[in-house]
Formats: sequence, structure tokens, C-alpha cells
Amino acid sequence: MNRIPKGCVSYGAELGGALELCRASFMERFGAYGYVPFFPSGLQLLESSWEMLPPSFRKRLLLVTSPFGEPCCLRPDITLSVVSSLASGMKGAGRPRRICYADRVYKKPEGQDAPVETYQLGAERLGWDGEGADMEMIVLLIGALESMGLVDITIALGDVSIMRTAMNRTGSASAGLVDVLQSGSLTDFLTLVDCADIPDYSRRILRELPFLKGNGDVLDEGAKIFDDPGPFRNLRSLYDGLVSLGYGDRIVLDLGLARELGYYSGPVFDVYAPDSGVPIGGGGRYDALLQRFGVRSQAVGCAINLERSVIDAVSREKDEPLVAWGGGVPRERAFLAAERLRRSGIRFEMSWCDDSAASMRDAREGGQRWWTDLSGEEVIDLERGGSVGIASWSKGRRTC
Amino acid sequence: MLTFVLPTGRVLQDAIALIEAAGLPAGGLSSIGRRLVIEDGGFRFILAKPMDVPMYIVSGVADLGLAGSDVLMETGAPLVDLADTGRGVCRMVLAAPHDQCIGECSGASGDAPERLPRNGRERIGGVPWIRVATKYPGIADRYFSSRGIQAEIIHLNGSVELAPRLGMSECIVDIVQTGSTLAANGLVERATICPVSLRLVASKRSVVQRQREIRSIREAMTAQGKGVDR
Repeated sequence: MNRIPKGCVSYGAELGGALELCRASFMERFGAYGYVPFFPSGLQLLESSWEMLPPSFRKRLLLVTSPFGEPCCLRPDITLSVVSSLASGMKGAGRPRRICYADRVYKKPEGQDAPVETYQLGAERLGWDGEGADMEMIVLLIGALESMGLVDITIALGDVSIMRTAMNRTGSASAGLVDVLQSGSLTDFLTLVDCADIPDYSRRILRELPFLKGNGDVLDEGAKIFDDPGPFRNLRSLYDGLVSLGYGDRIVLDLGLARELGYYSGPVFDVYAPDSGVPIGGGGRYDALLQRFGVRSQAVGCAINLERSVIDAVSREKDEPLVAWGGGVPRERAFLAAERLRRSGIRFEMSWCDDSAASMRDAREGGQRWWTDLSGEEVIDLERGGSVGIASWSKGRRTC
Repeated sequence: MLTFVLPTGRVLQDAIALIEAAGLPAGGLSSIGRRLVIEDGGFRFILAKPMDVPMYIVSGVADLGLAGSDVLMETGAPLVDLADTGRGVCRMVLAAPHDQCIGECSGASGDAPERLPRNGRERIGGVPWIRVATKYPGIADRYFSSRGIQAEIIHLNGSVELAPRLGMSECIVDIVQTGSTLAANGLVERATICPVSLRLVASKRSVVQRQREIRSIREAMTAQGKGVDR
């Protein structure tokens, strides 16, 4: 019996291929813009991470002791490792540093059936470089998701500085209000807003803010409620830029988007895919977290959790591989023919049995539709019969 | 099309009444029969076990639904609790036979703590230890843990009131509407853990993508006078 722990997952066959496609697409897209791969250690020292983690994160750490007796946790998140590593070498201003990563992270599950481990893709950009960095992060992320085949995504875009401004006059009630809003209970949030000892001006804003979601009009509505367009200027500039780049149909402004106010400090976003009710990822500005490492600078990042639904969506898009039979010619010749296929960008699996009929039968039983004899130039359709020239097949003309 | 997941069982009639009162197409819900999916006027209604409602929403199958706050607390599902509908009102309680001492929990009146248990499970190294039968192991665990009481949680799927009578547990944690089932089984309410009511909930994705429709449904449900627009 091959059982793996509840909440964990092994990726094989098509899902494994889809996962690799996601990883390669993401790293390539960010790599082209100067983001350098980073591979953090699997065990993280508690003494290094504890103080930096939000309380909601601390409760979810999976604790272990290293063989050298050091209290550690399994890597719960990669952002912290990246920031910790980069911040230690940063001395104030300087050239921005860019990092991208793809690895597993481990956390105690939030729900009964939630995962313990997820495969996370992400990128971080540290160093003063203006507000273009926020747009760069979102545009590159959309491009990476598109190259994985995830075109039907929605990005909920907000700005924590709007919530911070709304909380300005709420005093000690603000932390509790943000916690409740983050928990997702609007019912409890509105109850708390009504009961809290806060000015009516703040109460009116906080009652409306969570419901302001939609296109650019909500920024006008927000400015009216605040009697001040100031808190909305950055978000409007970012939103207008994304709309003029043609991403208007993917962006929904969400003025109630809440994050830990002590960590995030500007535009933030959540990413939604069609097959999941919860965000598959998100990101934003976290200058405040960077400051905790003693660096006053700009930090922006994003991360995507490749959960089953996302990988499924990617795997539906992938090409069907070809079975390439090399048993009918000397092996060296078969390899040379296989190399020609590879150079043409065709994905294939080699079959070495002596009998072509047996090779076709095995392919059919394995659910594979396309088969070719490496001594020829034809691709056979095992499902419907007939054949097509390999050049046409590779260009997508697969009608036999 | 908006997909709405409704809980079957005790609160289904409350849920249907809310759908009707909000002016949503509820005609198909008047004669459900054995159907579990009903489509009517741009809405798809899915009927699911109450405890499964959050899963349909979190997985993205349903946009919104009605779920008891007990279910939301127990599952801890990451969804958006949009409004208290004011329906399906009951309470989560700790109950025990009238002569059973249950550690340091307060009595129903919230008065002074009771005496420690007398039976063989009274203490382990000075720490109180009681057995609790419940359909809500998460809520029960949090309740006793927060009071420093060591509890053995016995997870049952129904007829929880039987457990103390049969000697399986010293007490129960369950939802109560009138208290008559408790009384019929010789149990007395010792403490109210939290109030429970039917909540309008939605997925985080749907709240972002279909904000206008969901907001109008929320307003229609809370405008009926039964809903509680806090």
C-alpha cells in the first residue's frame, strides 16, 4: 500500500507534466525580466522567522527539531526566506534585487480537507524603484499565468493604505477590526464596527468599504465616502495603467481587501481562477515587513499556490505526446530520428519493442492516440485509424 | 447563472422561506422530491447536507449559500459570511445530567464554577478530565481548551443526547432550540457556548466577480425584517 500523509500530494503522469509546465513558464517569464532563481532551505530556524511571522502564520507552523538540536519549522512560506536573505545584504538604496522561486511550502491546514503542502511559485522585488514596480509584478504574473494556459483569471486589486486611512481614528479597535475582516466574517465585522467606540466618520467608512468592489467607478465612490481622493491616488494610477495595457477585464477593484497592516503597505491583490472559490495566490507591497529586517526600502512580490484545480486546468491544455517506435531500425538511426523530432519541438515517448503491432497495442492500452515509426514520416491515429505526415501533424493538422 | 447551495434537514424550510422572501425564483423548491439540483430563473439550487455547504462554496462549485454559524465555526471554511439572516436561531450549549459535575465549567447562569467530577475520570495529575459527546469536535475542543479543561471528545454523528444516559460521556456539546430534547433525555443546559443562526455566505471569488448580484441578494434578504443587517 502506497499511502501518503493526509493533506500531502505526489504529482505524477499528466499532473507532474502540468506542474513542470507551470514552473518552467513562471520562471521563464520572470527570468526574462532579470529575476534570479532562489532555492531556500526546507528547514527554517524558528529563531530567525518567529518574530517576522504574522500571528495567523505562527499558529500554522509545522515544527521539527533538526538533527543538530536546533528548533526549526518546515518552510511555511518562501517570501520570508527571500526577504531575510536579501535584506541581510542590502544597505539602504542600491540596485533593486529580483528573485523568483518554485518550491513546496508546508503549513497546518486551515480547514478539515485543506492541504498541508502546496507547490508555490513566486517572485519578489526589493529596492526603491518607484511605483512601476507594482505594475511590473502584476503584468509579469498575468503573463506567466497566460503562458501556463490560465487565461480566465481575475485579479482583485486593493490598497491597504486605504484601510489604514479608514482606521486612522479608530485607536485600539483597529487591530481587532482588521483581524475580523480578514477572517471573512462581514457579519462579525459590521457588528464590531457598530459596537466599537469609534467616530461616526470612521464607522460610516468602515460600513461601506467592504462592499466597494468593481471597476474604476468604485474609486470615485470611495473618494466620496472619505471626502478625500488622496488615499485612492496610487490605486487609481495603477488601475488606469493596467486598463490601458488591456487588462481591464481581468481586474476587479476591491477596496475592502484587508491584510496585516503591520506587514503590507500599499497595493495588494488576490488572484482567482475559475475552478476555486478561494484565491490561488496574491501579492502586493510589503515595505513594512522589509522594515522589520532593518531595511527602509520598497518591496513587492507575488505568489501562486499550485493547487490541484490549477494544475488540472493546465493539464487540460497540454499536447498529447507521440509514441515513437524505434524497434524497426538500428538504434543509432532511431536516436537520430528522435533528435530530429525533438528539434522540431515535438514531445514523444520512445518504444523499443521489436514488433510494431505490439508497440501500437501498448500505446493504445496506455490511452495514447498518436504513433509513429521512426523509419518513416507518417503519424498513425490509433483511435480513429488513418495517418498524416509528421510535418503536418507537428503543425497541428491532425486529421487523417 | 448563480449557484446557491442550501442545507437540507431542519433548516431547509427556513432557507426556502428566505429565498422566497428575497424575491428569488423559489418555485422549483416547493416540490423538491428526490432532486438535489434544481434550476429556476437563472439560479441553480444545490441541496446538500448542512455540514457540506461550505465545501461546495470553497471548491467553487457554488457561488453562495445558506449555512448555520455552527457549521461555519466547526469547519473553519475560508468563505465570506455576508449576513445573519435571523432565521434558524438556536444556541450551542454544554449540557449534562442534573447531578453530573462537569469540572470547572460555569453553570447555565454563568455563576460560580461547579465542583470537580467525582468519578474515576476526575483528574489526571490534578487536571480535570471529562468526556464530551458532540457532533462538533472542533468547537468542543476549543471551548474546553480555552478553559484549561482536559476533555476527551467523542465525535458522534447524531443522537448525541444518548451518550450521557449510556455512560459514554459526562456531558454533551450540541445545538438546542427549545431544550425539550435535552429535558426528555434527562439533561440540563449548563452553559451557552455561542448563539447560532442561519448565515448568508459566499465564496471569496464570487464576492469579487459577482459583487453586484450578491450584494443585491444580501440586501433583499436583510431587508425582510427577519434578517439582521448589522
